[in-house]
Amino acid sequence: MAVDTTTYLPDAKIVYGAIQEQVSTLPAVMNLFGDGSKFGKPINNVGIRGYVFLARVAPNWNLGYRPEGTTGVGAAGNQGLTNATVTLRYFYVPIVITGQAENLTKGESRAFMQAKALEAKFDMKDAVSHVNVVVIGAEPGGQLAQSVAPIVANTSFVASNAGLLPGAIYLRVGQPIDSIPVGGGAPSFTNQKITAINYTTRVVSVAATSTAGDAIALTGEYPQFAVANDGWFAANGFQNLVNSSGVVEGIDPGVFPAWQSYLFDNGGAALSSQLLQQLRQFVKNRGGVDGNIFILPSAQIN
Amino acid sequence: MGKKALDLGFNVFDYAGLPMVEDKDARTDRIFHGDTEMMKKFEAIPLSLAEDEAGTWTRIIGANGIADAVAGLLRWYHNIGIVQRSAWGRVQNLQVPANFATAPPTI
Repeated sequence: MAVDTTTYLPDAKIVYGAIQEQVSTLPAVMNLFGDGSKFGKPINNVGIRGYVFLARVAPNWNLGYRPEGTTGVGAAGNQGLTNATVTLRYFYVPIVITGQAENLTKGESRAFMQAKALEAKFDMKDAVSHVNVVVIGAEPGGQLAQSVAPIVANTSFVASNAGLLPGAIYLRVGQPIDSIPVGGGAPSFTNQKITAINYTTRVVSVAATSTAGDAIALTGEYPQFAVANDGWFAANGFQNLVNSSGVVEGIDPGVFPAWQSYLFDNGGAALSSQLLQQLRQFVKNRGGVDGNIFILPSAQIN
Repeated sequence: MGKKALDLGFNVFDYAGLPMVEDKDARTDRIFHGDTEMMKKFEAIPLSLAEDEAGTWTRIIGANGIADAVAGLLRWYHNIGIVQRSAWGRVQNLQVPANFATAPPTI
């Protein structure tokens, strides 16, 4: 059947519907994990969707040996549980179909379906790829880089690699970016396209002026107001979830010391099998569980 | 977990019987280890066209009035959650080969 103005949009919907089912089978790190949606109690307040579950953050100490007798054995204790809240984040990919594009394929259903299927596939792959960077690579909140001096007005900034920051490796030429204080705030600039990147010197060329210390993020993704803890627009990622400090999911490790991951700084030395075993044993020792996976960057497999 | 990672298309190596999953987007100087049962993917709506109670496609109104174009929205409600934070750990500040330190992962 030929594509015309009456079938164009329904056909596009079918194509996008068919492709979406492939998202959960892409090699993105989040797809390694089981469904947590049935794990907790759903919350659906105005502006907030998410799940609340009970995290075990302390042992019950109201127990122990007692002498036999009739004087009572003391109060019942709590179970060392507290609410953990995972707030869902909204990820968007706008799509525009113009009349011109419609006319190009009008009457050619095969060409139309192929063109839309290809577009849908790349839309979704790009979406999953970016989310993967946010989850496994970026600093909290979707911070892809951090600017540092020397900053040349309306010309360039340097992507910092101090303090184990990732330099410029998550930035791309043509990518629209915002420059906003870490933690959110008034932007130094927004929606400026990167025109060039020297990955060795970490100089990023953009026709706007950053401020030293600013977070560099994909346009629109980083908040222009101060946020507390993990209240980002973006999904949580491994950098703040797997950490020995910082409030996540509403639980403060300062209040509940057990709400920490094991974190070890190797001082710039090379990875060894001894370190792998150490990490494994510390997780067992601190968490009381047997880990079942290592996640490594390509750089550490060589 | 090893089979699931293989099914998804990850490169999976092996250390003492445990899968080592290689992710090209992971930070070059650090590795993670933990229990996958203690990390969850919370997802209310998978990546899909937003339909809600409005139409999937909306006619665009431009600066000069109604346009010869329609717009739709792919939308995804999700987050990653950790159930027990101490069930995961990481080693960071590992030595990074120079060519990896300055080379971006592919798109």
